[in-house]
Amino acid sequence: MGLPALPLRQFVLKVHSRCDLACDHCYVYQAADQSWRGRPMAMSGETIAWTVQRIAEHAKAHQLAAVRVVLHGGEPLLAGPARLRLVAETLRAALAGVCDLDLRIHTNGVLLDEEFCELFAACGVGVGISIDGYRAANDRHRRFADGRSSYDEVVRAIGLLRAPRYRHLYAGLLCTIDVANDPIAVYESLLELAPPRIDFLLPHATWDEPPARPPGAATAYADWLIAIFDRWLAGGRPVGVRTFDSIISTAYGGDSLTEALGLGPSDLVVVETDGSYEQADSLKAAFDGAPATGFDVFTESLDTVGQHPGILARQQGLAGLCETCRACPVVTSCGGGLYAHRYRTGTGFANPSVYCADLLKLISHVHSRTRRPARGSVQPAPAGAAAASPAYAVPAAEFRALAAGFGAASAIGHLAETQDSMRRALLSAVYQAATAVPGAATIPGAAALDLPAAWGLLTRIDQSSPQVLADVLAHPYVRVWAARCLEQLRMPPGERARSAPGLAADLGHLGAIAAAAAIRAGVGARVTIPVLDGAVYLPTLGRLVVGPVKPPSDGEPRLAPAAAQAPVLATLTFEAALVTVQTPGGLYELSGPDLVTGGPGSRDADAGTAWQPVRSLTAPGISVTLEDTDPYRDCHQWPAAPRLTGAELASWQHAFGVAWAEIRQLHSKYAPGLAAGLHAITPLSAAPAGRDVSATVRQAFGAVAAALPDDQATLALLLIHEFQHVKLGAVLDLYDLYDAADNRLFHAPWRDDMRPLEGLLQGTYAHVAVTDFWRARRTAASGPAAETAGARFAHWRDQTAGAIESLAASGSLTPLGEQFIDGMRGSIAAMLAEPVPASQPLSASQPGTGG
Amino acid sequence: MIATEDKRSEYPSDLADLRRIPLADMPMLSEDVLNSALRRLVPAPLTGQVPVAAFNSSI
Repeated sequence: MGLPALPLRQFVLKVHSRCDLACDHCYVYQAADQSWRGRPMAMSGETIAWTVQRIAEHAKAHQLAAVRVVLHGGEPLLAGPARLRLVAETLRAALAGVCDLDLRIHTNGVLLDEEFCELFAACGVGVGISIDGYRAANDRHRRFADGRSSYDEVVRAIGLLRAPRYRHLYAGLLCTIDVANDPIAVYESLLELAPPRIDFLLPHATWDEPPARPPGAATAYADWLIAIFDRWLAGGRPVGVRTFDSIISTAYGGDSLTEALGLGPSDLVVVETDGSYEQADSLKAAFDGAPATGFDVFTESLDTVGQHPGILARQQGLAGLCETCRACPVVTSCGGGLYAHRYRTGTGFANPSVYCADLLKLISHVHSRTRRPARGSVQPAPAGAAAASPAYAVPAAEFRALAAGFGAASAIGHLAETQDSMRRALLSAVYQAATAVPGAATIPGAAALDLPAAWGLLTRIDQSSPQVLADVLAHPYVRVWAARCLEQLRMPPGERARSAPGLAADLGHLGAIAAAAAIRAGVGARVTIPVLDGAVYLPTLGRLVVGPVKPPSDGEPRLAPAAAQAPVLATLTFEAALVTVQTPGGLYELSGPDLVTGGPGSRDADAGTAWQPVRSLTAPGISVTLEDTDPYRDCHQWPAAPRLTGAELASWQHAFGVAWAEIRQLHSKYAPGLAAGLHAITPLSAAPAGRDVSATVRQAFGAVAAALPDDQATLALLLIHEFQHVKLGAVLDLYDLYDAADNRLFHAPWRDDMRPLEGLLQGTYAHVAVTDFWRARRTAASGPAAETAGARFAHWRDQTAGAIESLAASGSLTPLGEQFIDGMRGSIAAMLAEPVPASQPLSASQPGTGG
Repeated sequence: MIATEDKRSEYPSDLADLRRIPLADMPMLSEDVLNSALRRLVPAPLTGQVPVAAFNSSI
């Protein structure tokens, strides 16, 4: 026992010790341990109070972020609504402000009715159900004591959980394997019940009581699971399957999702109806009394239980396994299997699993089928690719070019690649957080969203058309949306309700992203999408106007669509090239290929249809999206402009063409980076005073927002200036250039207000380019224009040089940050060496400054 | 400040390249790997999840 005890974070409360079924494969009643016979039927109020107190004091003492509590049995519904409410409410009250509570119940479903469902909805209790497959498979073991089938009652209970009102409570299905059942039929029958996740459990067995196997079938359980795995994989993993997901996860260096696999430490304790602490109840399969600890909630804390040798034995990882397991090539995924399955009289638990041959075959098969070639490569990634995934590195020459204020297409390409990884991680994190039980239960309106369907569609497109998905996710405001969702999901429920009442509508945008990718990839789809501000928006494609379109803002920029407790939803179906959108107000049909290619079916609403396509600005060597439909574009310092009219678009196109020509001719060092990394321009509403305004946000890589200035040269300056922020934002996504804990404010010469360190860094980096812009302009111009440019050049090089030294003197730069500053300093030093005429007064407001 | 000559050929980040990980597998990445991707974007700890192996007899 070389490792110290870990805090316990999973608590299984045996709220009732009897069951209304008499399944002949049940480990509670049919296995070696018969301790249930001497225990009270239900957990008493006193025992509940002591148990909750122990959990709360343990969570507080160890500063746990979250605990999971599973209400279990026997059959926990036999405890009745009143007792279950007492448990749930006592737990929630005791843990409020201490840690998050993931509260679940696992039941056979026979007694589940609307009263229980209302209780679970009110108390945020996820519900898992046991069912062994199709009727005959289920009834092979899961029968009442009189032999009656339980199948109809269980399917009825699952039907309740599938209803929109309770679907957010539906945690998943557990199926105990019987190899006599048809594996594909079992899998398909479970899939028809639309669970959010499934697990297949090996029946409890030991070396003393090995599992039943057909004659000559040494790996019957592996073969059974492999048949399902292959179907699951071929079907695009339509549902989470805990066993398979765990094998894949551990192969990638992640955590196992079940104590039955992997090397992760067990942090689980069971509380019986009499208040006894026990180890994992699967140990009942080993020998009579195997799970016992000798402790109870009335006398001992959970810290004491955590020191029990039986608990400690399951926290030792590789060191806790027998020699055979330690030498096994799949030990990282297997972890020796479920602890109870290793038991043999004489050697105890120091053995491989009685399912060793099955686990080896299954895990090897899963590893071999889930290797993924790198994009653009035929070389397979090794199993364990995530753990071994190389960290990103930017070549030194390109880092230095970026630090100097420039960066060729290849440097921008390196930054864009890193964004790809971050967007995938963000998307995954949003989905995880949004579907965590009971997290989803606390989000008003979220129950109507079918997020698993959207996620499943995204994962299928990722498999079949990864570049299409990458292109959709690369739309700058997808990351804005994802970051916003994640920030809201991480709020405590109370704060979330106050600050993010429109979160459900935001989360529903996952369906819009999936739909856009599906239409682009030509993959059939059916997803739920929110109607935002009177339109159904499909990232990178455009929006379908289905009602009065609200302006993007009422004078103030905002970070999200209008708050709404219950979002208005549309159903989008894409089938046989036809996009059908059903909203509460009507049915719309669009041609999918036309939406992608800009064909006749994608005509602008101005031309008489409800569809408003995304449009582009083009010039030689560059094409960028003119983003004036995305509901998440209104995230800048200045309000976004409404959808442009045709005339306004023409004005933008003309100005962009002229500005781009100037950039290529006079500011050619910036052109390759812009061409490679500028994906979208978002029109802003003009500022009231008529001043030029432009903006970027850190989350919108590749997007620059601006109000159309009066002259094209100013647009060129705004684009160069703002793209500096885009570049530096991506560098800051990749590296720590300064101490983020430094919360001091600094003077920035281009701002009236004091700026945090990152703000000063961003502004300085932008003004290296602003200074360079005026340097080039004064050389190219003549007469008064040259004089003005010269004065601005002289002014900004001095101001920028001063800002660079302020940064250097801050004492908060990392060594890499100091090198980055050196790059900026080198560029300004070259400009400081140029002769300039005597200084001239400058107007208070100059174009292209700020930041 | 005098710039120190830097002879490195590249500048490594702690951000893992996740492009080869199927999206379906992303939720199973370790917290360390995910945090390497997200900590500068949404700087808050990943909380609310119980990351260790779950009780076998419930889901």
